Amino acid sequence: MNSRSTNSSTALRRLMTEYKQLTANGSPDGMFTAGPISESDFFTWEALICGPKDTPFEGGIFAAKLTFPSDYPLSPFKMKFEPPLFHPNVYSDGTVCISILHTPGDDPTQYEHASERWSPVQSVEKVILSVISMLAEPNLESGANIDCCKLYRDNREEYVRIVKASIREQLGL
Amino acid sequence: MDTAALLKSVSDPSDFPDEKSAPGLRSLDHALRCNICGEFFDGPVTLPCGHGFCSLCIREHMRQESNCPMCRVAAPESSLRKNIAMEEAIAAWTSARPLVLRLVSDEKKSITEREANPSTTPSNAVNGKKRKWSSEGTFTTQEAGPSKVQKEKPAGDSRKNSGQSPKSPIRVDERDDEVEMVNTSDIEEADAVDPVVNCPMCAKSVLESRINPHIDSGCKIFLASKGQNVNNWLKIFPGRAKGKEKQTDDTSNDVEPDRLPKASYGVLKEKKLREMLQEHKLPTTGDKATLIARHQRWIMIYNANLDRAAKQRKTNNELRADLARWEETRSFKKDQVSDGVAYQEAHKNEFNQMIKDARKRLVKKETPEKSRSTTTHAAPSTSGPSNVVAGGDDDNVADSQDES
Repeated sequence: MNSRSTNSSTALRRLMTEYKQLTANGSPDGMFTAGPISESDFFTWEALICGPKDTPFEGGIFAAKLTFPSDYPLSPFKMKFEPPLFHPNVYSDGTVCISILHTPGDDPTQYEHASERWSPVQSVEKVILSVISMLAEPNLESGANIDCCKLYRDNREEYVRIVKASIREQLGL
Repeated sequence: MDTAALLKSVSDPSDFPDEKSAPGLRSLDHALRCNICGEFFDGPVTLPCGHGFCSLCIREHMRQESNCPMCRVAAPESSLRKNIAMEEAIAAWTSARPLVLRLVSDEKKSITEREANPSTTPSNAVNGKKRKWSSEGTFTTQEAGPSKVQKEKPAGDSRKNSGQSPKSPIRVDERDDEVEMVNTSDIEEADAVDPVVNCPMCAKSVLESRINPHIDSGCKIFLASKGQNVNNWLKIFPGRAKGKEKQTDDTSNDVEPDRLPKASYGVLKEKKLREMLQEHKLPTTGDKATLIARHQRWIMIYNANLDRAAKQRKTNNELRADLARWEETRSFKKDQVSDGVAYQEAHKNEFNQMIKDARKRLVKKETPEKSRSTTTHAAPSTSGPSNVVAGGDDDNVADSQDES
């Protein structure tokens, strides 16, 4: 791991800067925390996100794994909820589908504007804030979990019930 | 690797106290940094939209997309203009930074001491309000040391001094803006009489009628057309052309080595590629893809280097060393494989662990639906990976002992 980090020094330095700023400033309203899982590998982070208020996700705490490429920030990182989250824009394996994490080259849903895509000036903080607003307002145009999309559209009550139940289960209540 | 020490070695705006206690310092430090790499601009360049980045950072980005990463306004690589004033500001700030940081921490200390026992402060109390005046007293005595005085003050005071405080840091910001204006204004206008186009290879301006011979020549005969272009301008606006000459004299930048043109690699034979590399004394080993990547990277770092001030520039040999280091990182994965048996031996434990994990997964698959619920329950594995590895190592030690 050491050799890897000395090699991609731009990516490593940028990640350390981001981590330092997140620890120094904290996140807005303390909505999330994020940092490397272990000291030996700065390219794998874990984020803990609080469910936003006035949404079915309120009260939950969601863990996500962030995996950074060696040419970060030219390429975006990947974000995966572990355990997976029941949400229209989260694949069943937990991978988050959000335009800010897509490069202009790849467009799995054909519904995204180039202006919403990844650019090297984005950051972990900005992406997670986008994900938090995505939790509150799912984007049905670019659904990742089709069953969940349908449920959200046709039977909102059931959707809310499932989300709340999964949160209770996760918290061990 | 010690994370705390590593983080300390990284400098960033949060080294300074927040905006309340040291107005402007964080934003000043932030304004001088590239939004791509997060460090002070290295060879700062400005785009037509006014945003600025390190020359190398933006060139790397522009290999993927020709636009501004901040506002996404289209911008070709040829529109980059170096930002000399910004570079000077950074040089000054990086040399002042350690002193400013020290002053800030001194100020913090004296304030905490003062707050701990206010009686020890020499009371310059002239008017009624004792506390405010005492801190202001120290404030004025320190004013001899330049702008950085108004950092750490009790909240009540900051309002009083707000008339003075923001000025000094902001002055630099204003200068910043001027720089951008200067740079965007000198964008070349199109020639209305004899249309000038940007060569898709070298991105230089060439008369439209000359573009084909220009490209055919490998972007070499653009000087003739450029001269012609200037002559055309002279006919129309003799004064303006003179002004341009003057500018070249002032900055003496145009006398400097020219930027390297991009090449049309698709039509080049390997032999020609090798010759092009040899021209710059670069290694000529590897297959065609490697040669192309090497040449592309060389042009990028060479041109980015020219965006640094002459003093800050690296020598060609230093650039060659950078290139070699960059290639090492690219071929890193290959190196691993080429180590072969030794590598396998060295990482025996990890391989064994991976085999074990794979076997476990296989078993899980065979007992399907049941395991599903357990996997979703799996705790958000924060410390998971390291524990697993550690455990795996123990197992393997046991295994190998059994074998022996």
